[in-house]
Amino acid sequence: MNAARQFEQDARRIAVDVPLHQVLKKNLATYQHAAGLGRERFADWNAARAQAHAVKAEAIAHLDRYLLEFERNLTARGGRVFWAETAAEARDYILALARRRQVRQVVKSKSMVSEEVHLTPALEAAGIATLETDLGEYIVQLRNEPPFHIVTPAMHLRREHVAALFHEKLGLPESVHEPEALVAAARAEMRRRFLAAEMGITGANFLIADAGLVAVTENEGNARLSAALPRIHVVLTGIEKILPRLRDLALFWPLLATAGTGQAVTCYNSLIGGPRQENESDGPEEMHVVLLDNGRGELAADPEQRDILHCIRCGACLNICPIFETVGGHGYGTTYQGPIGAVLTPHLRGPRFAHLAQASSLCGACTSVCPVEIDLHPHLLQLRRDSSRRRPWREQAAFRAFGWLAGDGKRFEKLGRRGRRWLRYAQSLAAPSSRLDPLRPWTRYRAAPELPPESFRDWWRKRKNPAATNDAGAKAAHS
Amino acid sequence: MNQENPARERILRRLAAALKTPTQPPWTHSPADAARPAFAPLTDIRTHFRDECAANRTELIEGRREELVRAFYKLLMDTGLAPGENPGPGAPRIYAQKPAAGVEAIWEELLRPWQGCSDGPDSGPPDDRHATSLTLAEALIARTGSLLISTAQGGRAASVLPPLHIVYARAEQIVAELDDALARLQNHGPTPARSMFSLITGPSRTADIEKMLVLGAHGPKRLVILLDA
Ligand code: SF4
Repeated sequence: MNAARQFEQDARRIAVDVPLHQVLKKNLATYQHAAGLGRERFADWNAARAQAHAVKAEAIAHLDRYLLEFERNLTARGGRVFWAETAAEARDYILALARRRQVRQVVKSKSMVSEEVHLTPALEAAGIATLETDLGEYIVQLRNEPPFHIVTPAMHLRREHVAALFHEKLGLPESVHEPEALVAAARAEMRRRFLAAEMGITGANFLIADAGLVAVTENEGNARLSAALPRIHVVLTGIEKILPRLRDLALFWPLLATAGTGQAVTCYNSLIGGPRQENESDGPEEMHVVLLDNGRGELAADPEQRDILHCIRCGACLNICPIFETVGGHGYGTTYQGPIGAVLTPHLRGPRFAHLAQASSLCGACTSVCPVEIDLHPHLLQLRRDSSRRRPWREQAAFRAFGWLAGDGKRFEKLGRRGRRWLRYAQSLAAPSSRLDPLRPWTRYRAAPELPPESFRDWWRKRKNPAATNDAGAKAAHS
Repeated sequence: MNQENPARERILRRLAAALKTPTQPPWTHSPADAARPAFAPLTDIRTHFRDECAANRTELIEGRREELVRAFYKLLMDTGLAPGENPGPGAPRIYAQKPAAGVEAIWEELLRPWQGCSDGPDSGPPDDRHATSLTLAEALIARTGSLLISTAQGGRAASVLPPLHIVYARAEQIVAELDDALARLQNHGPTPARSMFSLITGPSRTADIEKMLVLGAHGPKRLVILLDA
């Protein structure tokens, strides 16, 4: 089935899943409350956003130069950098490395890029046990599901779901429902695996050019353990994560935390710049950074939409989006959900995901919350424009004709008059939303608006010139 | 040309070509916004630090040396560590970083009762027997109630593996802003020599189940700062 049809089908089903919407509503409300309080910690949230935009714009404008600077500084400490043009190249590099070093167990902390390249299934297929260690990711991995949300992977689940899952998979007593107990069980289980793993894989939130450091943001400590215990540490991330200077983090750490969860900063913000050094007592023997392009270079070539590369994956645009709330993260059928997913996925995976631009009310809420001021809803419009150029010629001709009719006051008036007459006729044929109703595609889900007796123009004319109960008014009465 | 990684040149070449065309700022962007300060300056650094610690669940114990030594003793007793020469093989242990210059005396005082069960970087990395760790910090940050540590503080795992992490710090180590702490890392040039740093803000946590806060997800359940006033 093509992606657009699949979306329609899934959206229809999920939109009426009442229990799911109860969980989502609660989680989203908790987030909005925390994020609102978080923004108040700033003297001027919009100043922070504008500054962040300026920094990211500079970083992306000289991305090639900054990437080289990052590479030079990281390799000086003995880290290795691998550049991957495609998802397959990134996967193959990590797989080959794991094989070469006889890796049998991998611990992974959250990385959306690893989802993008489908790394875990590839490792598992090669017989390498791969454990997601972020609690939310761990839960969805046990359920055999993709993450529901780029920041909160298990946002769609209640504690009862988790309790039932842990009962089944970890043998926890059925009665254990308290989040503390569930977390403790997962911690104990995963700690064993941490101590046994030979390779730790993390993502990166930022790549710091001037310091040659990878910045990883988290709350749980699993990324720190992944970078501390196994003998190989692999960072898998996108080339767009560059920040020019270490000190930019003084803005970006609080910005990301506030937009992501409402925290002042997250619990752990680590900076990693290589394997264990001579004067250090622990840490991995090898550190590899895999820089993924996978369509990002081509996105940079589109000056109109280049700022999509500024995204820091905070999830704020998902959390505020009425479509996300309706169709949920799984409805999109993509690695990145919500407004950012809708604008990014067509660039990463081609125009067969262009339909996602239609999955928007164009309310602009996403744009208003984005901490780096990405023009999200204008980009949705641009994508609609682009995909309209790929529609069948009949449809294009129809819209051109409509454009011609609507582009002129007189013609538009005539069109409106005809339209009202036609609608009235259509409404007279059958009861609204009944099977025979020709307007059923609309009335099935919504009440049809009542048609006014006269058009606004007629009403306006009359109001300006009450004497003229003329032509226009008379015609309107019939139309 | 990098023989092993031909994609490198291709990616860089594509970027260089792509970025020749400049781009427009977003519709909503206003440079005047960017010129205003994002944060209001802190008036009372010490109080702010204290409040932020309380908010992020860091346990802050302020006092004179003797008080801190007593508090430390009590913390370790609570953790189930037994003072004395020879605890059993499976008994909980403490992992302490080597004392840096200037803190040898207090280190000696803090650890004296626990000699039989304390380890450090010289005896290898920490493991699951370590119920607690004792480290220093590079800096404390008032704005967020955080501490910045590096691998100099006992390595990478010492401050994340044990369920209780205790930090000894002096009040002069508190800086106002994250920026002050980050600038410090670049004191000797833009690229710090250490391979890992962590900004730590409270004990480990998760809110992945119904957005309910649970402490001690993977890292320490408790974070205690002994602040030498
Ligand atoms: S587009 Fe903006 S709001 Fe959405 S995830 Fe990226 S940075 Fe956050």
